Amino acid sequence: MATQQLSTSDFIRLLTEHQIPIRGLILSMAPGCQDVNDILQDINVVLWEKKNSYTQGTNFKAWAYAISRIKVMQYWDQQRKLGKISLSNEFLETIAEARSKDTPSYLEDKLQKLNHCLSLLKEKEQQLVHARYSESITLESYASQVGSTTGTMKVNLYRIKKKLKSCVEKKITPNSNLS
Amino acid sequence: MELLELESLINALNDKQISAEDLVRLEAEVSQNPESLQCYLAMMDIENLLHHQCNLNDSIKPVVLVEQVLKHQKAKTWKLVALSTAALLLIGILSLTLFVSDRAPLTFALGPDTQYSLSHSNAKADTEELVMKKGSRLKLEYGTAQLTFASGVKAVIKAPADIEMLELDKIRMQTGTAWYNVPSGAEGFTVLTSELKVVDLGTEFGILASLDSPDEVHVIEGKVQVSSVKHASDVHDLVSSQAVKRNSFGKLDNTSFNEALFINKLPTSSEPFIVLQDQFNNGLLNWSNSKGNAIIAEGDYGNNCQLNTLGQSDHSLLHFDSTGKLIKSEGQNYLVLGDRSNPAPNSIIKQFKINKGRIYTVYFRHAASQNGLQKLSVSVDFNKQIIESHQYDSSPSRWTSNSFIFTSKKDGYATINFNNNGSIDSKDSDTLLDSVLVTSSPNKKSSSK
Repeated sequence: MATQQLSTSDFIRLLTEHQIPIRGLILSMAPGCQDVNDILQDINVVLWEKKNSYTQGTNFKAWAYAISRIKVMQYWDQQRKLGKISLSNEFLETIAEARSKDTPSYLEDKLQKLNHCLSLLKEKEQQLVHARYSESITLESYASQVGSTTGTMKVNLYRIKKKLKSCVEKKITPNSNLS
Repeated sequence: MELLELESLINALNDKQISAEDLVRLEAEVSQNPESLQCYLAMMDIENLLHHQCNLNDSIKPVVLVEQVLKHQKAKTWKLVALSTAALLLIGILSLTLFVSDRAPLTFALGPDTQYSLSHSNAKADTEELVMKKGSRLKLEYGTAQLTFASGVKAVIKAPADIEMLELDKIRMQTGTAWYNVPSGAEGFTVLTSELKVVDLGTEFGILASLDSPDEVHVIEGKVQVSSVKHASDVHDLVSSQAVKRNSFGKLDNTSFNEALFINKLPTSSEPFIVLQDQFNNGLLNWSNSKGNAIIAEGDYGNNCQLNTLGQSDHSLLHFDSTGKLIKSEGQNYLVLGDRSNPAPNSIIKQFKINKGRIYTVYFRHAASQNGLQKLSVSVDFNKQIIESHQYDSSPSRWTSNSFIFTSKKDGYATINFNNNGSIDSKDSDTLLDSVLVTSSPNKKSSSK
């Protein structure tokens, strides 16, 4: 059977749809890494270059994950060369393997639940979450704005994230309170 | 491993604060225990999705920077050009910063009677020169400023304003009333307020950002994407003559478009600037009810009262502009001081900033309801000492405009107090207040810097 190549616009659509899952794979394999956006951009470039090797109708996520996995491994190789603490290859393989089993709607469902859980947070907690994750503000400047320390903010964030994780897992009802 | 310890270690890993020893323990736990692996993945999902939600307009699009393509590719020039052009045209996300030098500054000019302060992230940078770089912060105490970005974006901003340059095409505007013009090629220019994210899609628009009232966006021409900071999924694409305003739930509601709120060039002469104004359309949000009863009313007031806000000649549908001229008001609300069970005095108070040597004019409209003449007293305190005090007769069923002037002798915060002292309770008539406006102007007799 002849392989069918995707049109450029369809390829871009697929690439767009998979940005959050790919970012999730990177984050899982490189937790705390401040270069996540750079790695993602690098992966996008490679996916773009290799787009002719993707066959229409096959599993785009598996194809993109395979390439992403290699790029993150390369990142850790560089970190090791720089003498930095790194995750073991065995651990990285375990994570990549687990991630490959995520269903297509998995993150979408989770995002819906998370949105609801976020709306149950107190306003100050929402502001703190925004300060930590928005690229438009740093946690340091937010801490200074509200007259606190980054350390205190991190402790509060940890509590909030645990609440959110628990809330998302409980599949709570809209009228539940998040405590 | 207990769940608490596991979560704590994963959190430390995310914060890059994990020890080598703990990292080995965590790796072993996650690799060997399927439940721990699920916990790890769940925590990473939260990280990923929170980032997505807080950067909604950026994170869903693939970013392929031409610069990276060029760096990455080893092929011949023609291939590079073709690829980079494709990336530019088809993916359409090319950071403007590739074309703009980091050294290219934002310059600004000041209007007459403008008080400003400028700070830079680099403490050694020159704060005398009217230039902003990444990390610079411009605060306008009063007056106006015109910003010209390297990309060609122009803005005219009215005080009080607080603006920080985050990137060459992104600013944070915590407060200010600003008009923006974004030329072709500079689309994507972004303004963040504390409540809204406004991404230009090629246009002319205005933003009202205030600590006292909901932020608003008005599109004069073109298209703008506005999202709520509190509810990132609440995204509105606005076109010409459309406007949105943050509601009390943090979401966006449509509001009346009003181009007149903004100026698109610096004024040539000094005009009074507005220190505070309230038409009571947002309730008593900005006031303290210091004594007795103060409620918001709308429309007719009582069966026998001729007062209304719905179109008769003697109504409260008037407000003041910064020169004291009467203009059309924005809503139908007004304030009622006192009622049958709350004898005078009933009062509301609010603080506002004053600067030494400047002239302040206080405008307001008032009336008495139903049967009798009532009194409205207005005083201005500084450090608990009255610096200005007036009492007015409020006519039954008739709105009256009044104003008074005072000169500040010190810098600081003054408190304005509106009350119904002296009103007669037995008349069963209340004091009504609307359209409060305080302006500040330079004292031309005194030397100003």
